[in-house]
Parts: sequence; C-alpha cells; structure tokens
Amino acid sequence: MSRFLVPLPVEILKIRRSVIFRVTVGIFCFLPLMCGLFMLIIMNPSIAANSVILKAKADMAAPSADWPAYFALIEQAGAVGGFLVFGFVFAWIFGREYSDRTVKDLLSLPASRTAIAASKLAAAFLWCMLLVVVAFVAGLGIGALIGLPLWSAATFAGFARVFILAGFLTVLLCPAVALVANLGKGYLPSIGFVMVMMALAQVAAAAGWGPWFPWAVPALFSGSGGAAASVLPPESGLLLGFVGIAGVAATIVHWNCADQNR
Amino acid sequence: METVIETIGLTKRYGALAAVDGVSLGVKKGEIYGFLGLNGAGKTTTIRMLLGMIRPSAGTAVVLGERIVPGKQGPWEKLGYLVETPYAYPELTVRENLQAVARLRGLAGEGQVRAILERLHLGEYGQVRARNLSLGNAQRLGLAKALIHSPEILILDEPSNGLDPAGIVEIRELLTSLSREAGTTVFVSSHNLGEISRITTRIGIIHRGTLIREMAREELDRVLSKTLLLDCRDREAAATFLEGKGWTVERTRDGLISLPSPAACEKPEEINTTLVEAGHPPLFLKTDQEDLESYFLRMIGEDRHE
Repeated sequence: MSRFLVPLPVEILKIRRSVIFRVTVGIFCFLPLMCGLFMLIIMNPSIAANSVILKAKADMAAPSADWPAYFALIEQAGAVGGFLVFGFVFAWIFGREYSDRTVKDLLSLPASRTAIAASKLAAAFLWCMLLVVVAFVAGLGIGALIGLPLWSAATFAGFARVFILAGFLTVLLCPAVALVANLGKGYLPSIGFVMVMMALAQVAAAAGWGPWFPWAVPALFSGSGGAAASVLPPESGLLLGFVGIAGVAATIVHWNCADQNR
Repeated sequence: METVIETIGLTKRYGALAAVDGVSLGVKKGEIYGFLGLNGAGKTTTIRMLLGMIRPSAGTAVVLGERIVPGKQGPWEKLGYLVETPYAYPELTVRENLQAVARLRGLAGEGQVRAILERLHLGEYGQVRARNLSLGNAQRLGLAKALIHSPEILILDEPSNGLDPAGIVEIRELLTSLSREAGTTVFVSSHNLGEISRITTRIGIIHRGTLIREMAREELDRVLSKTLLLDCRDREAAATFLEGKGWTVERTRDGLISLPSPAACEKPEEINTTLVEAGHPPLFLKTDQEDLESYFLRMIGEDRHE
C-alpha cells in the first residue's frame, strides 16, 4: 500500500462503525424505493386512491411506468440527492475531527499530514461511490420486482453510464466541501456551503449558465434540465475537474500549513 | 546531559496579543520538566508549537535535534503526546482506538495494544466504546495513545485532569517509573502544582506568555520560603517578647505566631529556650515550608508588580 494510504484502513474503520454510514446507505436505498413507488402508482392508480397528492407527484415525476422512465427518475433523484449526501459525507469525514476534537491526534504522527488528508479524501470517495453502487443495485432490484416493461440492454447501458458517471462527477465537487469543513473547523460551515451551492446551481441552471457552473453540471448531465440540456460542452467537464483537483490540493495544503489550535 | 527539547525565543502572537512571548527553555534527556502556569498563561500554545501544530510567530523549537516546522515530518515516532482534554473516536472501542493509533504510528501486531491496555489498567474496558468511558478512563485512554509506542519523549498537557486521587497517584508513579526505568523525558504542564513538585526534576513558570522562572527541583527547595510557627498560651505577650528580642513577628490567620526568617528556622531550639526562660513556653513549635502554590502566586505577584 502506498505510504499515502497507510491511514486509509483507520478511516474505513471509523466509517464502518459510524451511524452516519448506515444512514447514508439507507437514504440511497430509499431513493430507488420512492422511484419504484411512483412507478407502481402509475401502473396501478388504485394504490394511491386515498392520496391525491401522491398520485399527482407520481404523475409529475414520470410520464409512464417503464424501465426508461424509471431509470430517468432515479438519475434525476440521484443528481439532486447526490451532492447533498456526498457533501455531508465529506463534511463529516473532515468536520468530525474538529467537532470530536480528535484532529490534534492526527497531526504529529509518523504518518504524514498529506497521507492523513489523502486517506480521508480516498475514504470519502470510496464511501460515495459505494452509495452509487448501492442505489444502482437497489434500483435494478426494485425495478425487476415491480415488473416494469420495456427493458433493453441499451437502456440499461445508458442508465449505468449516466448514473455512475453523474455520481463520479458529483464526488469531484466534494473536496471543496472538505476544504470548507477544515477552514470552518467543523461540519456546519461545510453543510451551509453545500446548501448554498445547491441553491446557486438551481439559479445557474435556470439562467442558462448551468454548463459553466460546476455544481449544476451533474444534474444537467443526468437529464434534470431535459434531454437537450444534458449534452454539455467539454469545458463543463474541464471546469468540474478543475474544481475537484483544486479542492483536493487545497485540502492537503491546508492540512499541512494551517495552525491547528483545536 | 543531552538537551532533547529546546525552545529559543519561541513566540506566538495573535494580533497584538502575545500568547507566548520569547520563551527559551531546555529539557535534558531523562528529565521530568514541569511547566507551570495559570489558565491562559501560554502552556498549551507552547506545547502546540513544540508539536508542530501551530506556527511560531518568531523563534524556534527543536526536539531531538530536529527543528520543528508545522506540516513537515518531525521526530514524531519517538514522541508521544497528550494535548488538553483527551478525546477518542466515540464510536470505536478502546481497543479499536488504540489499534488506530498503532496503525498510524506504523506499529505492527497487537502486542503493543495489549501491553498498553494492561499497563494503564484498561484491559477490562477493551471492548467498551470510547463514548461510554468515564472521564478518568478517557484520560487513561489518552495516555495509552501517547505511550503505546514507548516514546523517548512524552509531552503531556494537564495529564491528571479528571482523575480521582488514586488515578493521580497512579499517573505520578507511571511518569516517575518511565523516567527512571526507561529514561523517558517527560515535559508535563499542569495547574496541579503539588503534583508537579513531587515528580519533576525541574520546573519552569510561565505567566502571561513569558517564562518568568526556571529552576531545578533542589533549587526550588531553597527558594521556597521557610517560617517558624509557634503557639503559646499568651500569644500577645509572647509576640511582644519576641519583637523585643529583634525578631520580625507575623500572625497567621488562625492567630499563630510566625517568624518568617531563615535564622529562626535554623535555630528553633534557641527560640524555644528563650521563650521558656521568659515564661512563655511554646505549646508547639515547627518549621513550615511555603508550598509550591504559594510560591507560584508569590512569583506571578512579583511579576505583576515589575
């Protein structure tokens, strides 16, 4: 194992033992479950006979009850919930060290601070990608259980490509959240940052600047802005990649250079 | 003897406030150095600079011959530390917390984890989650994390906080044995001055960021003022008699007669004889040494007036 990842098993142990981990897995199982429920309601309107609101929401969410509509719904739900949950994951992994006052135990060790920060980023990345896989597998299982029509290999391949790639793109935005958690020495500033970025992404997308605002890119790529908007210029990817790399670099530099007085 | 911790003009300023101001000290191998000061005196800031956690505004810290630069690798594999109240990962058990530290310190196997659990009497708590530990056991876990790799230097910030009297004695004995048997150098800050005076070989007193006094334990014994305390049936008459003999006489809060003079403490038998002959036989007579708390308050009082 690279010396930069020596602390990784420690980070993974902390994640495995945390309640937050189980909660996020639950949330990412719940997303396809809700999408599946909407499909069921569209297929069998009598299920929601007593809930006009639920019926209306299901009708708004998807035009039909089939695999393509179901996959599109999961992609959009993932794009919206993804940054919120992934942002929280990064905020927790870094911010908890300040909130639990354990950061000082990570600073003067044979394992370098670069290794500690890199392992934390790697652990957060693995956690988020695991959530993508959980939602993906749960989505397939729930869709099969409902017995949706119009399955095709091409539809499945398209879903797999968009969902996993959108998840990856969303994770790339999150090192910036880690940086804010370090600068703010806790979770709250970084969770605030996530909320502000989500709001700004909505504004940017509505104003037509979405492709140039990295936090709007994953949702547009997932089709939240319609099929036409999901075709993005290469610069969108470059901007997003820059935000990811800059976030990683700035987080590592901060760990090495900032005064740690908590 | 080799100096293993050295600070030269170590300073940390936050705006106009100097949290630590030009602290220069040296700790020799095998010493137990007590670092005394009131809350906010600059003890923890000094310790954080020694550990490379915060960047000095001026001056340098050198540990085991290596200049400490925040973010750069220092002699951390030979150093254990405990800064302020120890915290552990609450969701991990005591054993898992120690395993995590062992991994980050590059220690292989379970041997050191088992050994330190036993040494700090944490064996029965191995499977207990850290969030469920009492304050005393959390402090023990903090010490276990600092000691797991048998460091050459141990830097401890208020290690007896939260411990009951038995725990304090246990820590005192542990530090003493580490110094005597393993040659571990201990740099320990504490507000518990009595504890410090019992185990340290040298002390430094920091006040308002400045190191105002540094001395060996033996020197401390010399500078602690001594007083001859006595009591008689007729206190007023005895005090007047002693004043007439040229002694400076003070009265304690509970009315005892106090002679704050080294000469009186050196010849208590002569004063006893004089008083007996004058018809004021002492009911008791003893020499009393100023405790470290009083000395400390006297020192910082002098510093305030300078």
